[in-house]
Amino acid sequence: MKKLELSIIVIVYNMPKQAMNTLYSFSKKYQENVLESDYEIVVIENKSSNTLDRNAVLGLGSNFQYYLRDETGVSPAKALNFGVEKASGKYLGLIIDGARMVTPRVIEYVLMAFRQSPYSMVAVPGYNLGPSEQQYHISHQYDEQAERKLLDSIHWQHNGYRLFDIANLSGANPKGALQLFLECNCLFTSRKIFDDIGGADERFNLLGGGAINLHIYRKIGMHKNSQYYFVLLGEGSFHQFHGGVTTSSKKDREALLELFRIQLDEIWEGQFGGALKREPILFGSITSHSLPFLIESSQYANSRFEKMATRSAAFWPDDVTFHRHTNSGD
Amino acid sequence: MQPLLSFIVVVHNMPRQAMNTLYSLSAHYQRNIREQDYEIVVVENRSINTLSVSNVLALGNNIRYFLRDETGQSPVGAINFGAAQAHGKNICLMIDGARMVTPRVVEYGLMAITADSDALIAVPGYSLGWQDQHHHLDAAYSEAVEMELLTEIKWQQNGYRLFDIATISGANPNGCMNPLMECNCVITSAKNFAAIGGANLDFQLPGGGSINLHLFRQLGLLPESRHYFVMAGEGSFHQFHGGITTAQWSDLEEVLESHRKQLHSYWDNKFHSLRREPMLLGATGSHAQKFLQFASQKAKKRLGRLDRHSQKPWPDDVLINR
Repeated sequence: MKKLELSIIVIVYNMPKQAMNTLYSFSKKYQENVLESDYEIVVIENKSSNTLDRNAVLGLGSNFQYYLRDETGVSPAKALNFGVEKASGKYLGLIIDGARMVTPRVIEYVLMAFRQSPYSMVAVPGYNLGPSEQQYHISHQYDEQAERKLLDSIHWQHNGYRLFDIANLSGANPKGALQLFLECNCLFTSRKIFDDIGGADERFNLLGGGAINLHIYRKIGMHKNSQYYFVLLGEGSFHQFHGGVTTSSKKDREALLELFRIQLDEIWEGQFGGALKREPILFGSITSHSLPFLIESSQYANSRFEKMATRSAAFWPDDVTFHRHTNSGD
Repeated sequence: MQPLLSFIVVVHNMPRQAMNTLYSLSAHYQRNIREQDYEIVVVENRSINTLSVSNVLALGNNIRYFLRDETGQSPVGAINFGAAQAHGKNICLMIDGARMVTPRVVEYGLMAITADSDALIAVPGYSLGWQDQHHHLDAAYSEAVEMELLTEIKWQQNGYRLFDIATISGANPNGCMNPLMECNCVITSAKNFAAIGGANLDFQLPGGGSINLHLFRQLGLLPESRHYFVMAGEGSFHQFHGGITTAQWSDLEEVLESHRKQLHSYWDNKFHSLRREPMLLGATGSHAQKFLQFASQKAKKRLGRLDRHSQKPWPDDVLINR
């Protein structure tokens, strides 16, 4: 049997309905142009009163593994490291929030990207289901039920690209797929690089991991071997509404985010470099459903380039440390 | 070491333009690649105005030059001759040596054949100047004007500036995300090129007539070419020269009609642009961005229209096992 290439680690906590959609979206029933034997999905669930049905998970395909674990803390960092330990692939997909469904050719394109280099970094742009960023949803009377109705109305299981029809750009990449990403919630890297950056840093012990995703994204993006930075501009990872950290409407949300920032700053000793400023290599097809977002992204990219050119600023300053020519300025 | 990819550049009676093209393919200009990864096979049909062999060979160790006699007016014989000389398992067909390219065509070409060695890979076409070159003489556009434009942008230092002085080509008038009619910088496997019997020698009209349209569709319909890539942020840029479709022919329409006739006779009047879903590959820099925006708007229009009529956007994909 050939050696397994890709393991996707999905962390789940207290959101079985959303997680089942996510897992279905990673299964061979839905992903196109791939074999079940090309990849595996390692589901790590932190115990709650509301867990997944193990049989239902394993029923999604012979390439699923499921682990239920006790977690005393509130961060998914340990679960992620546990998942990587259980995984056998050379390459890893990091889905730290199990509420994110994906489009049908994510796996195909990721496998192609790793054929370019075993150290490729592949980012899938993020979106939110619903009419606006979910932290504002409660004031907009958007809830799980409204979202379920939306999902039912598009029959996403038959054509996952329809998710774009009911979504908006995520705060992780508010200016679209052609601009800077602050973080990525559906990110692929090699096991070697993940190990090199020390795995998921367990000091990120705040609720939901705090700013761990920003940390991981920048760490991997600046790793000297991450020469090729791919963005799958026609695919997406779609956040479903759930009682997670950043979708809650608590009044102290801002205070919580401030704690996240302070922790990030402490761990980077004040040197966190912000969003990853590297030129993305675009990869993959664009369907009619994602086109409106490409047009929007393209407009954002145009204005950024114009602004930077006026200032004679480099477009992609983080590329400087990589020995590759990119179109970093005029 | 055997190169992975062979560029076949056919030249006839346009040494100045061809030298720009060859420079744009050379490792002096192409980025993130090594000279030994690819080769450039220059095939020149003899004229009174040929390339300087020593200048060509000085562009790199990966360049070979062949001067041949051609009694006809078509480049098809030269293309097949070039393909026979190529050492790469993959070839890039550049049937018109007047087309300069952007700096990562080789890098992305190598990436695409790494993903699928039988892939069909297209570099979108543009024309230098301010409108498609069929109409240039009317617009007082000339070689001299073009040379000035090229000098101004210092394209040797940043080839992406070619986008700043170009318009979209008639080969892909609606941008790189709609069906391409033909492609003047197209990569295929040598195996697939052999499978279609090479460039059809019947296309003997001046300039090859519609050979490029014919070739592109033949290659694109091969079930083996499972992946069809388009380099959205790269381009091949046609320079003004006395070729067939850039010349001011008083009888241009008549000439094009003879091209069309020949093409349609081969396709039973069912010739069509290649309607396969492209996979975009490559970065889109600041210079190409406006064309990506144009292409995405055009694609939205087309896909919306087809959707309203319940028509499939990519019917030619049916033949491909994906």
